[in-house]
Amino acid sequence: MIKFVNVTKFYPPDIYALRDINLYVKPSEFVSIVGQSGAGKTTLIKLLMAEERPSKGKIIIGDWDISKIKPSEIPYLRRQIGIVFQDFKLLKEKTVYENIAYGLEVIGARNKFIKEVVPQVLRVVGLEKKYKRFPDQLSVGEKQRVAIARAIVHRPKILAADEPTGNVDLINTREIIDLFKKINEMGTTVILVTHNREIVNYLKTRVIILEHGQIISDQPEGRYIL
Amino acid sequence: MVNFIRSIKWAFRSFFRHFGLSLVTTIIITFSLFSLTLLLFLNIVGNIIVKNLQNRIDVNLYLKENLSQEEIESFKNSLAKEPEIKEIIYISPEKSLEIFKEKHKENELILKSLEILGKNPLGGIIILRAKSIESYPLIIEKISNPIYDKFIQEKDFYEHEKIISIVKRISQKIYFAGIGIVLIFTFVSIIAIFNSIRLTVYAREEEIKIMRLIGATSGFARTPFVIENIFYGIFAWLINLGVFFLIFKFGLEKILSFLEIEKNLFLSYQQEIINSFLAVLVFSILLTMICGSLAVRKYIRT
Repeated sequence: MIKFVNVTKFYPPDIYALRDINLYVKPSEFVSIVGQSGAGKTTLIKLLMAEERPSKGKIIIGDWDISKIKPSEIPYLRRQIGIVFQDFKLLKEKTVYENIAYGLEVIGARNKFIKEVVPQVLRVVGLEKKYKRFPDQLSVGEKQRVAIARAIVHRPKILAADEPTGNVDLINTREIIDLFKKINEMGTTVILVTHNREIVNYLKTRVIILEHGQIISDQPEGRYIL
Repeated sequence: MVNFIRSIKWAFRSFFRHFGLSLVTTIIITFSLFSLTLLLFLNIVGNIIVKNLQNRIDVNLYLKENLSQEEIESFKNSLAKEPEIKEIIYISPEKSLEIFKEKHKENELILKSLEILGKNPLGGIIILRAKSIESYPLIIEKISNPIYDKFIQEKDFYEHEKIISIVKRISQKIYFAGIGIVLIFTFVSIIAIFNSIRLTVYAREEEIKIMRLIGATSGFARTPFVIENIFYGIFAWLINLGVFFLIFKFGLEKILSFLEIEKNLFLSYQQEIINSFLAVLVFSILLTMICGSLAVRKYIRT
């Protein structure tokens, strides 16, 4: 599904964000990528989203080598990947419904399809009664659930989450992680970037540990051992 | 098509959801358009004033007293053949005397002298008007031909020659200064509009980045912002039109009387005025479209 082959990301003059990363993620797998700040976790997600290009090596998604992806092809890559950010990146002036529908509207989905799918996704994330609210009228956990709903509404094959529980309290963290598990059970590959020890130990799925831009551990049912 | 309709809907919704921002941008564009329209309008008024002056310029030919009606007619006919002459007005000796008396009705000495003289000392007058101000020197040259000496007692154009050259110089200066000032104002307007649109887009940087991150193509991310900017341009133009409508409705008479321009002469320039407003509309739409597109470009690269 996702293959990183000898991937290095170098920022001049002398910063190696990632160094010789070799990684294979199977379809429908749940992978947690952990590490301290500056370990290269976010860079990995940025490479996956083609926000950054690798300085060396290849990144392959399906059969698609995205290392040298053309700018015009990037939107089509991103439509295969749902992305969740720590700061939610919701549009304040749009309602919950509009924020979720936005994920479909920007890729040119028809209105009829949007009207069918958005209520279903609202039910998956448990916000069907709050669809008219604006982000400022939601709790932090609810905001993150809206962001997740927007990320999965177009049914991506991959869901990448960059520190999705960084701003969320413990109870909401558990709910969000359960939501990711649920999405994964529906067949979506989930890549979770976190430095939260509790989450990783709770998930009991594959854990990749990064340190100074290099993989120092890759356990199929790992624990956070740093 | 779905995307285009959606972009228009978003642009419209966004215009009202960010009403404060939209209002400020629209007002800035309105000021720029107002200055530009005012300048184009002043250029037209300048042309009208020059035209007005041109209309007042003529060449007076004082005819010899003993000319018969046939001779006068033949002189008029030969003048009518000159392509530079637009209008020939003949004033008979009787009418000349009448005008002369009317003009000097306060001066008893002149009136008494006329009475003592016992006959009309004035001959007929022919007034010539040229098709354009450039034609006067040619007309003057032609009527100076000795073949016309038998008809003409005196010519009155030396002062006119001076006025003609002054008006000609002024009209040329107005034309070039007008072009220069319009260009400068257009440049200033472009800078002002571009910066205000850039600020508007900057305030929405996050939205554009989110659009790109969730799979919008650059064209799709750009379109709603460009359309929204076109809305600013159209609204600004409508406000500008409204302001000028009010000025024309309530202040036109006063402005025209201040500038000593006849209303009919002004109205004969109606098409030019309409064209100016249309030119400002096209300018406004093109500019907001280009500025919007350029301003968004920076954030679309994500």
